[in-house]
Amino acid sequence: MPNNLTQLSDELAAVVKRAGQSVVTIYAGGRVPSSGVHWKPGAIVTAEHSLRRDEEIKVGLPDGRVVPADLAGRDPGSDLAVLKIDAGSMPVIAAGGEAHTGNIVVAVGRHRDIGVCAALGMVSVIGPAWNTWRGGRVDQFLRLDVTLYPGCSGAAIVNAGGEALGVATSALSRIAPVAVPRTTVDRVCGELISRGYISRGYLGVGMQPVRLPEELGGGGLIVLSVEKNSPASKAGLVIGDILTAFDGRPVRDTRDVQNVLSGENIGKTLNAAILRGGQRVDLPVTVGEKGK
Amino acid sequence: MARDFGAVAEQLRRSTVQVRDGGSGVIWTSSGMIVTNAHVARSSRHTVELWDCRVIQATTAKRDRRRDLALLRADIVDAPAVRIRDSSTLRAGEIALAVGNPWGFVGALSTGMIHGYGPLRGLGRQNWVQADVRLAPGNSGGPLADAEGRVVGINTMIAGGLALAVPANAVASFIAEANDRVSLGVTLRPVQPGLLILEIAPDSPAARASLLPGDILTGLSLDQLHDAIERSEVLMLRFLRGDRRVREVAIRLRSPEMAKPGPSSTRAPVI
Repeated sequence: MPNNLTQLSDELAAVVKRAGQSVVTIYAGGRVPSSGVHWKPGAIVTAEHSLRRDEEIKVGLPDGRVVPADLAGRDPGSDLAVLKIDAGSMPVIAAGGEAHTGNIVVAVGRHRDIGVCAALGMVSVIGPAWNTWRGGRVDQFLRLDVTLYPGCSGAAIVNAGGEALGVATSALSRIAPVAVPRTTVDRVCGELISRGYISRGYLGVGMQPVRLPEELGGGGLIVLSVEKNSPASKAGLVIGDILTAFDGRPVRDTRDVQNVLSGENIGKTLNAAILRGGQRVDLPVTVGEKGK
Repeated sequence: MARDFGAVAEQLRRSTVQVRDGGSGVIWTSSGMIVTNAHVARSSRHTVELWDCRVIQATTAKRDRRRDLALLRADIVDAPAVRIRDSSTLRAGEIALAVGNPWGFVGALSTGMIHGYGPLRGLGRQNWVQADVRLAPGNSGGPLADAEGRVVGINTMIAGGLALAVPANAVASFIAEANDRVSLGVTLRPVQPGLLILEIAPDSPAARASLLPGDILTGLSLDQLHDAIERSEVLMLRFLRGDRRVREVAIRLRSPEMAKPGPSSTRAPVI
């Protein structure tokens, strides 16, 4: 008695089978091994929080082999980590297009005992770029109405066509699992492979939001501390300065500054618009690299 | 698509019964065999309510606590039996539907996806149909079905939010098994001197051998006892009863009338 439902069921099972060819099990010391996605040739992306150790990590492939993996790097901020393996003939997961609220999605993981495993759901919220509580920047907010069962952190989130929209994690939101979207995974994956870590810009100032009269822009960030020999002190910022705009963008909150301090701005000289003693002053600041 | 969900659910509901005060059950054959969980069918007689509101009496024909399955027999003419699917053909990602009576809410439908098929650590070697479907108490014993409405498992428990169902194939072999799967007919609990008998099933080999609740079997472990039951025709057991004297008893496990059970034989729960 085939019906529309059996057709959908067959299609979803085929989607899971195909996507599952690019989904692996990660043995990295956790009580339950997590899942990972073959994202770029030889590079497995998984959930950073599920890696309990940096060495002796093993990856269970769809063909049943278990191969050693090298940790390329971790980005706790976006809860992503990249492992390098000899992938053999394992295909890379197909890249998905744009996600929309209400799209049907499937979380495809790989369980150590039962192999490929799946959970059905929907894109429940799509939002703009956001900062995670772990301090990372994610290009799109993709909340999922999907249950991530034990072992499914790091699972691929695929659309009804079997193309990856992102990587699933339960560590970035308490309310529901989110997908780290494809663009963020691409960026983090590339950076972790080439550099081993995610670089962050650095100024060396402590700041706090303050209100200002409307004619001065309504608000800004007052400088409370300046570290010695930091990019900020070299640029001449002093305690009491009020930053109103950075790189031409008005700033009201420290997050606004952090958003400018992404990796690609390191070494660039950006304009800091400040109020000092009631006077507008423009200071060129060369962004440093955090931890260097 | 929505109409298909409705049609499949409606068809499943007609074959799903309410086992009073316990959970759900599935009409497995048109002759009135009802499959449910052993933890739903705890006694030997049950009040079962059909989808058309008929209330009938059913007796426990067979019960296996290890696999958590029970077979009830009811007098229903032309019972609306389910269609059954070979559960070993299941693929992760297929649509799954569950019907049951969660929290006493009759005929509730839950939908989701087959998560996987296989064993689960900590639950022995047996296979489970694992489904991404939300279940609740009262779903126990009810059907888990595929998109066509064919039953692939009996919803049995929830582990970490995951619905676990005994595969239809395991149900089939449970039913097909000779009715006299050898058993002693005792409920045991390991204690300091041995294995304490808590319950004796009526009309079981243990009952016929005059073992009594409170007797303590000595000199062998639970595993050794299981092995001995599997292997031997006549079991020699030593036990303590109320004093320090070790008594001995010979128990015939395969009695002549048990070897060929009549079609209407009903047996009490045993391990």
